[in-house]
Amino acid sequence: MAENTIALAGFILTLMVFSYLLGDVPLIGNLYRIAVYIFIGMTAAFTLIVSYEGVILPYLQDIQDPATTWTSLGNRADIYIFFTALLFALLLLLKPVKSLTWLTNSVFAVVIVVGAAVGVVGALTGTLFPLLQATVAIPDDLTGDFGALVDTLLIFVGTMTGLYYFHYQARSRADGGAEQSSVGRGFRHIGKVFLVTALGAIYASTILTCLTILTERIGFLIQFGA
Amino acid sequence: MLKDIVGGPLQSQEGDGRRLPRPASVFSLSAFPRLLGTALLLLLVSLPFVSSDFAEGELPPAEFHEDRHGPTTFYNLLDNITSDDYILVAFEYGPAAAGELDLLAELLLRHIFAQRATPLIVSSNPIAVVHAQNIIKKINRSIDTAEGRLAVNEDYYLLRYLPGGALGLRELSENFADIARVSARGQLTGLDFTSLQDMTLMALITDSSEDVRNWAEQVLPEVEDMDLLIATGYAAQPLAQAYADSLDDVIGPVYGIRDAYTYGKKLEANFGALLPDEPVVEPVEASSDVGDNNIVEEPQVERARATALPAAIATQAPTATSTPTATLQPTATDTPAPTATDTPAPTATEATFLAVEVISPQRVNIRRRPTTVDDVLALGYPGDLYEVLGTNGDGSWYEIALDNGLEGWVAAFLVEERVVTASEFAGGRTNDSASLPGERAVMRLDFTFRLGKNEPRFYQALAPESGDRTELVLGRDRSQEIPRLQAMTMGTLAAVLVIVIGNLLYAIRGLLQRRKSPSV
Repeated sequence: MAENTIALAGFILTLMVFSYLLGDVPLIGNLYRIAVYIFIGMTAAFTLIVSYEGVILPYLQDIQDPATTWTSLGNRADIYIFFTALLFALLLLLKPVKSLTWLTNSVFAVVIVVGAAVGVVGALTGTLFPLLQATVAIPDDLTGDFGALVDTLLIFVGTMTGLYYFHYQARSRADGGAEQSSVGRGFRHIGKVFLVTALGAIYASTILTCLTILTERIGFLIQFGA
Repeated sequence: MLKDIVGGPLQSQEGDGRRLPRPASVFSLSAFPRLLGTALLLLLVSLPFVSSDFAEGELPPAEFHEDRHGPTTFYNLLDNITSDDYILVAFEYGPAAAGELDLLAELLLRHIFAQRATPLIVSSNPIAVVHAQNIIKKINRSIDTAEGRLAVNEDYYLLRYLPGGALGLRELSENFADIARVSARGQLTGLDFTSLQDMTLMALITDSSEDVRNWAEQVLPEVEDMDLLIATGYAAQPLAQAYADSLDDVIGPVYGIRDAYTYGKKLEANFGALLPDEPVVEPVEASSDVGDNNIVEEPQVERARATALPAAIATQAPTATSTPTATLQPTATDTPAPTATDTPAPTATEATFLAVEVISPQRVNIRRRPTTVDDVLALGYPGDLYEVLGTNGDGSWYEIALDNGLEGWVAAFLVEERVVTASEFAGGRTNDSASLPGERAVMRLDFTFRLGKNEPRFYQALAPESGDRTELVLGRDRSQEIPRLQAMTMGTLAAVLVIVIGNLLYAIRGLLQRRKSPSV
């Protein structure tokens, strides 16, 4: 019974989302919005519950743990962190008060700076250095593996010209204009080809994702109606 | 945060506070081309579901393509985990991507459960935590008996949600012990890990390139010698592929519905090959690299074990469980009867063969070729025994037989040679891994899996009497898979048609406008 109800709700909500295709027709046009609002509302509620149960509640339980005393270092550190987080949360609530917006912004600044620092370190150790090493890695036996040689050359040319595409250098002309060298233009064109090909592949992949999701929904609708 | 959760096109419209743009009415002329294109797309995508006359497109292969660190390695690593292993599974997709990734996620979890390992599910997306629980509920619904169903905080763990995106992942990698202590519902899990290094593998399921990047940047550099298996949607595949091609620790990606189909077929073949009406273990050819007498005898012993062990273990199975059921009893039809042609009938307990025992205190990698840069086929654990098939030229690597019929290579300094009998081989296992061919065969023969760490119990997942056994082993409804694949082909066709027709119309309109405009 419960499963049937859930399936029926899914069927109706799917049709409501598909009503977007019919455009801004009175009544029908609002069905899409209602479905979106239901989804966002439920998402917000679930987020609140999961955050409270999984993050906030265990933290509160931890600092009240009778096994540790207020004087123990571990417990004190937890309490300091808790009150700092509470203070930051309260400061965020001051956003509507224009004269105190700077306090809210300072909280955002801390979060953004810490996030950026973590992001930069991660990008260097997890992406840039390893990918750089892989890019410049030359196969042991270039003569024996023609495919590997082509791969290495393509990666090298693609990386260099792709980077060059974002670099603009020109010499000034007598009439005050700027003139780019023909070699530079050539590099930029090649870089553009690599970039467009990469973006095209990503876009095609995204279309395939959309198609996959669409087939699942269509199959669900047809199966439900059958 | 809602932008992250909702994802897709909604976020850019709703996330910055603006109202959703109202689409043009269907009755307006400007909406007509859009409606026509959409109608064509919907029509073509729907046809395979209603008529087999529109079954266009080839089905994906039943095997993954061989690729370094690719899907084959992804599968093999999961196929060799044991009940001692904890797998960190990152669910990084929400309901919006469920239509694409649920199948892959379910197969991945079933594979882990079937290997009797324990998944620890974690996510930086709160809705994904709830969604993961729903998938496990779905798996549980396919299990007939209440006592066999998967129990939270025993057979699997849903760890607490990681707020803060990249910051949350950084906390996971540096403070894993605390995170593993608490479940998503705020309960104590009882898990006592020291660090993320205690995991055997990590698996990431995501629809977003950003998640791939975050895991590769914030988590992977913090662990040593641990593989990250990646399963993605099509949209995240290009970036995931770049990481897999460049980093030794990134395995995969397995992506999209086509790979999900192949994954399902491989599981089907793996489990189905062990069914009673099919050969349990293929005879293994002796290696030509080493002319040792012990090794020459090896194929005979292999066949003897393949037939002798199931019977021995099958009789032990009911005593191992406190509640033996009829389905656990081996029957004459379910048990492969050794025949004179199949079995040379040596006394398996007297035959000896050369084996190696893992002496390394850490798990060891078993690779496809005798080099550290080749694919990892399986993991070996301290005390594990493997039959030796040969060695490389300088004796620094042993070629060994794996339980799944594959042959792999292990570095000689990690193992020790031993001459063992078949019974020693069977009794010499220090863990209850499923890597002994006969044992694994009989486990699946009876459709009985043992799960749980603290209180081992037999997990009667499926009833062997009913329906197609392979279907039951996989335990999921596959009726939609093939029409969906065909619908994908039709959808691609529709997309190409719409693009081509649209561009033609655009070109014609341009020509007409040029003709009308006065020449300059």
